Amino acid sequence: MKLFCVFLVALACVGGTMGNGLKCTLNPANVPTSWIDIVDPCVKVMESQVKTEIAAAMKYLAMILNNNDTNIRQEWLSAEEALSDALKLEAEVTRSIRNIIITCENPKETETSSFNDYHLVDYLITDFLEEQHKGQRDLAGKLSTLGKMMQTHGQLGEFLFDKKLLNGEI
Amino acid sequence: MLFLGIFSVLLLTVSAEFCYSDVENACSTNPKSGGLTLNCNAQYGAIDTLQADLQSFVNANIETSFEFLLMSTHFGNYEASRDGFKGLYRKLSDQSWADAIDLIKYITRRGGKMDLNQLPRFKKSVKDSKILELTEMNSLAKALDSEKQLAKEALRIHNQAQHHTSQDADVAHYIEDHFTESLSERVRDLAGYSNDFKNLLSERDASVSVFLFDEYLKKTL
Repeated sequence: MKLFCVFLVALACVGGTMGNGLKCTLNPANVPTSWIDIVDPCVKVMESQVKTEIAAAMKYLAMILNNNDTNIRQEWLSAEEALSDALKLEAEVTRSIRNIIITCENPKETETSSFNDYHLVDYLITDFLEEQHKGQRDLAGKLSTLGKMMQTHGQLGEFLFDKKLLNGEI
Repeated sequence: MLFLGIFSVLLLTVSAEFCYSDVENACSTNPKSGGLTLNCNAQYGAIDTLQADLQSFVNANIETSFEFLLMSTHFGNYEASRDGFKGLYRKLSDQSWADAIDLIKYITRRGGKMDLNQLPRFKKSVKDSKILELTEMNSLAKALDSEKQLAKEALRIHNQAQHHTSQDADVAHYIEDHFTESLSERVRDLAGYSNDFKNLLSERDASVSVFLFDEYLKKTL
């Protein structure tokens, strides 16, 4: 009995020192926030752009697979159809980037409405729009080549185009 | 004679599933059923029954990849500011993404199709909310659980492929080659990190320990 009591006391002591659990959450540091000048409406359109880009990525993944669907299209009958869909998808993405630029250049709905996010706008124009325009021109060119190749030669035209595409010759 | 008769009947019914007979039909002067060559495909073994499981596993990998990506960006923000954790989760995210793409290629190699709507088989635990802005310790625990779930699913598919009536050794081998080994390594690493990290947290103020551990993580990448 005595031993048991000693054991209990010992356990209580151990519990007392160890029972607080792990310090999993650290105290946050004190960082001023005045340098964070990105404004809410601009952040919101950027967030929705991330969703658009991810949706586009998933759609391209579906294109590689060529499959049937319930909520996203997973099947294309021809290369021409898939390329044409890709071009439309890129145009949608471009339009949506343009809208972000407009919103971030002159955000409304807040007191800070006059805040023009020059740097973000420049980044979107130089990096994103540049890539979009290059990509769209590339897809449109490929679609045009394929369309012409298929006009009189149909399947042979598509087969040849596909092999050229694989070898980076188009 | 009777045996020959049965044999030829058998041969006839079986030959109906061959590409050659489809082609013969298609090339004949009067092709039946539109001259389709449906048997000229890459399917054999148990791929038709395993396909749905493999599709779910692809989607499980994609889902896991996005979760890790969110965890990575969380540790990359100025408040968390943990480059090591950010890098670790980015690496795990990219691995799961690459695994998903590779598995899709395997499914199509075996004449199957990918269906992005085939949901992952395993249920996320109730505690698993969509919020992935976790503390360092919680994130390691979550990462370990996620990788273990993938590893368990890989074992389950491997088991199915092996014990299926038309034992598909190719699926089993593919899973072994591309998933089980790499996943057991990931599980071991994360279990190790969790335990080392846990020991560091028993200090009164773990801030510096966490900083050093993050620096160590960065070096292991």
